Amino acid sequence: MRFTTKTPFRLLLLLSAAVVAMTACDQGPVGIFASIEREVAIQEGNLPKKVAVNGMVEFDLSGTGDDVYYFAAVGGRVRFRRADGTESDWATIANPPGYDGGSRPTSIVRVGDIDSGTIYVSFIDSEGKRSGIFTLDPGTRAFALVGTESSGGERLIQRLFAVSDELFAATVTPGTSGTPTHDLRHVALPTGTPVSIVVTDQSEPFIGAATDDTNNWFVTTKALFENLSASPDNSATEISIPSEARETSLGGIAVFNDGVQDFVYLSSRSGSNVTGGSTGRIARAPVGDDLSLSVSWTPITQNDRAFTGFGAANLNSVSTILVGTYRTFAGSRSRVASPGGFMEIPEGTLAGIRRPAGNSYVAADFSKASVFGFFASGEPEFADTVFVLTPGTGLWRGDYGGPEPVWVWE
Amino acid sequence: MAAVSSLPAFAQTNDEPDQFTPPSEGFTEYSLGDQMLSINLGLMVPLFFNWGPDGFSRTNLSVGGIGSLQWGSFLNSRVALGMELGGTFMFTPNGRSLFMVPITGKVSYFFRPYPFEIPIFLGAGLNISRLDDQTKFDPILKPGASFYWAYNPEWSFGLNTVWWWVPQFYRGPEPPSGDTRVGNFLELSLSALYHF
Repeated sequence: MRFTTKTPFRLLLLLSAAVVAMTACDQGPVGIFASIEREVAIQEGNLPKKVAVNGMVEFDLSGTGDDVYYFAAVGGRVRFRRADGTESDWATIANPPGYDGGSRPTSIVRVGDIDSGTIYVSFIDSEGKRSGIFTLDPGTRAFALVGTESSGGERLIQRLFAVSDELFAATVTPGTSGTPTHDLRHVALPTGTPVSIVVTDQSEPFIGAATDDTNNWFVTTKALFENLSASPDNSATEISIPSEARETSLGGIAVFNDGVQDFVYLSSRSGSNVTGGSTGRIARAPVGDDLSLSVSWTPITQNDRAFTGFGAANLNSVSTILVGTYRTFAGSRSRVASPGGFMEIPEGTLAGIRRPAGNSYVAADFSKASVFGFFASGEPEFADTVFVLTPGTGLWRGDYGGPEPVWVWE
Repeated sequence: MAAVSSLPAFAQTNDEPDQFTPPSEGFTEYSLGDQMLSINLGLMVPLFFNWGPDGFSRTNLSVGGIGSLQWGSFLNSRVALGMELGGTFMFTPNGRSLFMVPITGKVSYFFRPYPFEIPIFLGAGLNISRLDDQTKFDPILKPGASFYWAYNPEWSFGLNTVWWWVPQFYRGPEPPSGDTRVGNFLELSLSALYHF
């Protein structure tokens, strides 16, 4: 290129045009300067940060309310600490024999009451060949095998569900043609046998469960199953969800009382793969109604985020449903499609769905990452506290007792 | 022999030792069409935000870095018009990066007390702000002054002091209009200026 006196100007103009052209305008929910002005430094605990959190429970060791401990499946280990915050650091529990290295706890649930129930933890080994369910003694922190382990890559336990004081396990088995099959199994307690199949041969994993303490509901990313108390053999029936109540893939299910009656809440998203999507929908139907009928469901307007699973907490004396979202991008990642983080639904009123308030939420990494689950203590002493479980951004604690929630990266 | 015999003759005709010949007293006058290019690198100091509900407030930002390229052309011996493309970064309390890329036109007036050049200038244009996945286009004003030492007729080296005034307007509902702010920043940079 011949260098003329106009060349520097043209080059600078071209560079400027390129900068503008490559920049998409996405203003987000808060002003840039304003959010920086209000930002406060996020406190951090001692847990690993960029890991998946696969469940959390609490247990009262003394039964008096003074010795409540949290147990969480974080990264490749189960970790615990006191709930009252007198010991802010989490301690690590060694995995059962044969589950070291890259092995991981895939789920942790409690069946029974906070002071007399049993904690169950599922593990998959590092090679993905061996899997088992173990009880965890909250006092001695010792694991004990429940029933028998699976081996050879068969029936790997992906998730545990504790509903109606029963234990259910979602398993995956690689198919002979390379397509995995997913089953839902009921695990008889306390011995772990027999294990009976509730739902079998599904193409998609089981991702959620809900109960009104009489009836149970289970969802895969594609289907809803109803396990009514009238089913003596624990079988579950698939329910065809009307199109008005769902998007392409399901995200989660919950049963929630809005102060008047129990409702089944269902979340969904537009993505057809295992993860992702750019929009979502939440719908609810009264417990007891025929869920296959359109008239049973009340949907909210489609929202600009792909929804995942539900949680519930009592925040500032308001019973609130929490629903997670995926973080996804459109095209070549130039535009955020679903922003991540979670939404609040105070008193389950779908018209009131909102983003969490406060600058601490905006500054927190998880508000721009996928959120899969929640944990809130059942103890009144720990109301106004909610934990956010993420697939790759660790465990977060939100303290709602002040003017706005303050988030801590555990 | 011839080379040796030439040495004394050379010494007789030039008694002065070799020395650097400085530019002539006073600069060469600029005229219409004379151009300049500069590259600038330095520090960006966040000063304050205002227009918020609390009036003036701290920015919460760290001192950052700034770099820019500038082109200018003289209209006469004192006044130049130009264009500048820059970029700066600063960090929030949680390590988030605020990037700003201003694209500005610029008018400068040069004071030239030899061997120094002191342009005062005003830039105006578009500023692109980015924080996480949020992007905002805002107007920007950049008044400032520089102080250069002319190394030779082509090259000058010096310092820039520039105020960045960035009004960030929001009409609502999201982001809310209450998030409107004006950002005030101070650029302190070293500069290399080439005249051609």
